[in-house]
Amino acid sequence: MKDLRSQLEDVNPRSKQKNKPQPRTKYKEQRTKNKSTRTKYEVRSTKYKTRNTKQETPNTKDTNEAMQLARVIGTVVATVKNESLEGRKLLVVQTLDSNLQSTGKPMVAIDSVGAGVGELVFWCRGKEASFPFRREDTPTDCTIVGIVDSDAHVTR
Amino acid sequence: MIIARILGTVVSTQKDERLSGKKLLIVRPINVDGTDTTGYVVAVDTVGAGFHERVLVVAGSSARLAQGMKDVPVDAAIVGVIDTVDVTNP
Amino acid sequence: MILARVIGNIVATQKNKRYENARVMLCQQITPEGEDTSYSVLALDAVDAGVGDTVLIVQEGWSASTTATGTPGAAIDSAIVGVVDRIDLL
Repeated sequence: MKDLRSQLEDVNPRSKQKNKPQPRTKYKEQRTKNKSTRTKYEVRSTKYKTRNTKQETPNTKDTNEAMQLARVIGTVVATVKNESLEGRKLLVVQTLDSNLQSTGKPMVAIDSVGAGVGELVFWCRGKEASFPFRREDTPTDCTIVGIVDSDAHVTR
Repeated sequence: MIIARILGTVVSTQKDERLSGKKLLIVRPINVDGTDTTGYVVAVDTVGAGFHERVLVVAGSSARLAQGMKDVPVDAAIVGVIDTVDVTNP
Repeated sequence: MILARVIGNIVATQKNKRYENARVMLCQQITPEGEDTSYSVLALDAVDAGVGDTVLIVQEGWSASTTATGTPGAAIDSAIVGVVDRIDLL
């Protein structure tokens, strides 16, 4: 069992895969051994294709220190709470990765931008999450700070 | 913040003096459908939560922004008692 | 905060200056029922905990630093803030 933060998001920030650089050698055959076997004419014909033919690099997992995308999936009502949270909207959010797949567990976030159920939003964590409000006495570690206009901005 | 349910209390006499008089509760995070997860957190109570209630827990340095926790060394605080959770299933 | 059992001391002659005169204890996290988990952590002691005691550990930077050394800003992220007398579960 780990502390609260790692229990909520089981992500490992060290899982980045780095591509090894091509070794520079004198002989052309050795250099092209690991490249794809495209001829000169094939290269020309792909010149006018769309730009999204880049090879998929392995997804680097989201770190624990970044703002995260999320989908708002519900609301929470709490009458008895700290005075500084009076009148604040509490929403249940499901964190998403860069491909808009669910990752981690749902959390409760405070809304600072007027988000509704079903919207794609992003949230901020840590002490900075209290900055949209009175920062010296608003206890929150998860605040929705923006609404994403459309999915096309985030799908690759 | 997470939703959690109260499991029990912790009694500690020998502790940091800024924690004296504070109620320490053991809470277990629960999923949105009400089922338990594994794991627990010891949190300081700032709202007078009772046993068997579902509560809202703040973790990290923001727990020191809770009511009455200004210079207290805590990293988890209960900041609300939950009445209802309404989640639409995708 | 988490509950843990102190399983030993750490002696380190070469360490960060802010760690001088501090006792570093090796602690194993326990469940509220008292069983060991696989998570262990080093924590600075500020409440005179002994080996075998059940303790409360805070894992937030400012809290750990002020509890263990009196001033914030030290490179400390876990500190023992209390010795647990009793755990009551429902």
